[in-house]
Amino acid sequence: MTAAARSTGALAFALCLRRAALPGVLATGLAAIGALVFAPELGDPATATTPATATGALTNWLLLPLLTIAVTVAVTVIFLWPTFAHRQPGADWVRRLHRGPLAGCGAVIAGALAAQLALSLPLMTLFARGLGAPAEAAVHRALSPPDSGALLSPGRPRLAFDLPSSSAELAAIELRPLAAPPGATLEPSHVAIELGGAPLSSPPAVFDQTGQFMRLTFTPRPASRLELVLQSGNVPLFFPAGAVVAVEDAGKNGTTNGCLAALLWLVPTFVALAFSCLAGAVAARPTVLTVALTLLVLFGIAGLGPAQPVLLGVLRGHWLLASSAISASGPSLLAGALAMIGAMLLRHRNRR
Amino acid sequence: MATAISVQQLAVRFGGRRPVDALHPLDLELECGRIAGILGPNGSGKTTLLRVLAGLQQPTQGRATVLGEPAGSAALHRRLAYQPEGALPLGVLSAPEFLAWVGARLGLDNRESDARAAHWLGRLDLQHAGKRWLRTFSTGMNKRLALAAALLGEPEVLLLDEPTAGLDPFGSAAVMTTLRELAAAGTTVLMASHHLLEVEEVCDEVLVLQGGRVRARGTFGELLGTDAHALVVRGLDAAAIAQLGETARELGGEVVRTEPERQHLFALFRRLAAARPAEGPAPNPDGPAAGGGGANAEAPEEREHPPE
Amino acid sequence: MTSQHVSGLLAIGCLIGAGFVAPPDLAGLRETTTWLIRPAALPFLWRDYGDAERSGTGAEAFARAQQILHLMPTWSDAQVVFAFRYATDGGAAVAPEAAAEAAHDRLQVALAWLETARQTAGHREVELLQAMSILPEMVARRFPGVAERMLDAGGTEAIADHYLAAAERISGSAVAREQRTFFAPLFGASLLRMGDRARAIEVLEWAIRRSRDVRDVESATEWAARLTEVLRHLRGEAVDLGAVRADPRMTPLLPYLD
Repeated sequence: MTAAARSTGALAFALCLRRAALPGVLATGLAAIGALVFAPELGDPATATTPATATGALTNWLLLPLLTIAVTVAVTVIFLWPTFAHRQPGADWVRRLHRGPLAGCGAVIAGALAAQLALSLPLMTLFARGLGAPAEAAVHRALSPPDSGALLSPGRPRLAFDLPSSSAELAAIELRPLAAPPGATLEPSHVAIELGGAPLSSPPAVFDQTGQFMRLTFTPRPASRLELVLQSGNVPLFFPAGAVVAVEDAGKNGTTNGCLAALLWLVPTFVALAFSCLAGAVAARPTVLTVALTLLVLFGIAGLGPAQPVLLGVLRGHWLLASSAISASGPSLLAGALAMIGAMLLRHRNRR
Repeated sequence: MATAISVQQLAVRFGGRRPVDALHPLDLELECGRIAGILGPNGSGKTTLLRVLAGLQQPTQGRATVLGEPAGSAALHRRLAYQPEGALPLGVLSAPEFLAWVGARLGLDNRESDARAAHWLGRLDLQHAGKRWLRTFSTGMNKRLALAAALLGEPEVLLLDEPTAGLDPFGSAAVMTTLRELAAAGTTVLMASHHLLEVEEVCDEVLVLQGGRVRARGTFGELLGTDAHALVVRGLDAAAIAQLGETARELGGEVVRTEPERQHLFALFRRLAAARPAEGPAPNPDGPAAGGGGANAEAPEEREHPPE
Repeated sequence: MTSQHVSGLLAIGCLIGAGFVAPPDLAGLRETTTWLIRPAALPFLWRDYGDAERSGTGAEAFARAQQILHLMPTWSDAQVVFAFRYATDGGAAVAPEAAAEAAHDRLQVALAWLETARQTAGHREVELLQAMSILPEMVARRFPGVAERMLDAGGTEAIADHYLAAAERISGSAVAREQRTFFAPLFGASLLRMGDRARAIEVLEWAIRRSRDVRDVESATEWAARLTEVLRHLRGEAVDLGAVRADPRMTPLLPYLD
């Protein structure tokens, strides 16, 4: 710790950085070994024709060091800052010197998040690239079905989708329809695509089972309207929201995507620390620790909030600003903010 | 003289299913530059009173002002310092780092903060603590660093909760000397303590609490004064002392007791500590004993007897 | 050297000695570790697999499936399901030639995966082999062009027969034996399709001989009689094929009897 770190936030930053660096490095090493030893036994030339490969399956190895860092950072600040938990030695010192309603907890959380950001940036950029994340991220836009319905069947052989107004050209369409049983002997449905009224030259996508994934790649072109045309076959196909994804041509920088991912991965830690701060107004340190760790596990492993979509987005090469990770962050951030407000009110009441 | 601390009908009740009256309505006035002690058994309300004055506890009723400002007001952030009992926060910092953080929180300029920190670390014999973490400090070192931190902002009012608890005699003496100097310079000190001798030694007045109520209040003269006078003699043999007693009786007095003169225990402790260099690695007869817990030796010079 | 040092050295020595006397069982260690990790990890791995199925590629779903199966290597049903899903996944809409090439590659990967799974399948190995015998034909029917790519290996039926033979050898059961026997018309038809009439005749003769061991004697006798008629026709004898054409079990052979 340097004497230069005089402010509370800087102290928390320096301490978290120092405490979390070694566990983070060890976890990264472990993850790298794990990714090598347990690499998917694919050798899959099939995916050579598909930009989206199996790297999305490697989120566990990226999660390991990230979660290690987040847990270390959370535990460090809870032990560092006496007002994080109820009736800790030294709390009166801190309350006298930090007159705000959170008695410095806000500054400490900010410092901790900055430390986590510093440690997770190389992971989300360099380590993710090492795991196979694409150098360029593509914008994937999930299309909403038309109001008139989302069924493509012999009785209704055309289905039109409005594309979001964007200057970027489209380079691919991904389809994942739900299939219903046909009325007669099954004949796979062949679906062609028309962009702005012009048919694509790529072969049609063939569907005969539900949830089947098809990617149609074509020469990039601008378009404002997409139509699915049932050329032949009798398998009724249902395209709910998200079943049709337009992939834009303009590639975004993968490193920038990694930086965005590191930023979004602060959300779980923020929420965990915010709820710890709330719990700490009335609970002792073991309870506060339990709250923080439980939330981090729920976010990191159980898939709550944006943590999982962020990792998937980085490894699959999906531009995060256009992904579900952003929308998944909203409720988490709101919950964290409410927890902080609750902590302020509760702590104010406790002083009476 | 101006009033530093003023408390009127101040009461504190802790809520819950079984409410506890920590302080029954009490009044208190303390003039600037005075040192007042709060005495009382555990749970008598000493710490609660100090926390109210420090703005850490809202009173249930009544009002408290410090230097004319309501207790807890932002204007008192630097003008009042409070040294709570117990450990310091941020145990993974060194003493200079901790004081740098305190200085920053008090809004001190970095250079000024560092200068003051160096002064108080030297004055309270902590300059050798170096980069040791606070959590490795002895109780005495912790107490002295806490005092240094409280004094960093040069407060006008100092609230101390058990400032010498756990300190060795040198440390206690150093703290008491510092408090006397501060009072002489105009700082008002209100301290809670269980060390009756120290309170008697350093305080101008005393407040005795029990069960949240004031049991006694005033200067030592007011509280302890009698009409009797004592005569202490030295250098007479037994016959001469017997004759002196006879004379006293003839004059209408009463010989209460005759006993051999004994040095105060503090003098013995200091002598033994000063002899330690022959045995140990800390050849500093005027300084603290090695291993922490010591203090500078300004105080012991002037007192080899208990206060009278 | 203090007594603590001596004790420490003695402890290390004992540890090394114990390692020599009773070497650690690495397989057991791995099994124990897996046993410990499994309950905590499996729910989340299943969720990840579901995510991959819903929003990832077929390759990603298969990679996720492998993570599950690393923890449950003896679960041969799942090995089969995941491998089948991967092998029959479309992936990308590309020109038929490229689609066939990709499907063929996926089939190879899936079969290799199942081949690996045989090592840990235990008594379920036979079922694994029987499932493997079906997969090439399934992929070939789904993706035109795959069957032609498998001709070098004798066609999908030859591969199926290879796996059925292995299943029969391992299990020694009547079921496995009969399954391979009744596969003969399909295998024979495949050989006829490739123009290997002599080999087809050999296969059918072999099947007729084995039909004597089938437990349902009546059905086997009838089946063998139909097969004998086919055989005679293939040898150039004049045979009335009316009964053969009416028997659905002979359907695969019909295109090659005219």
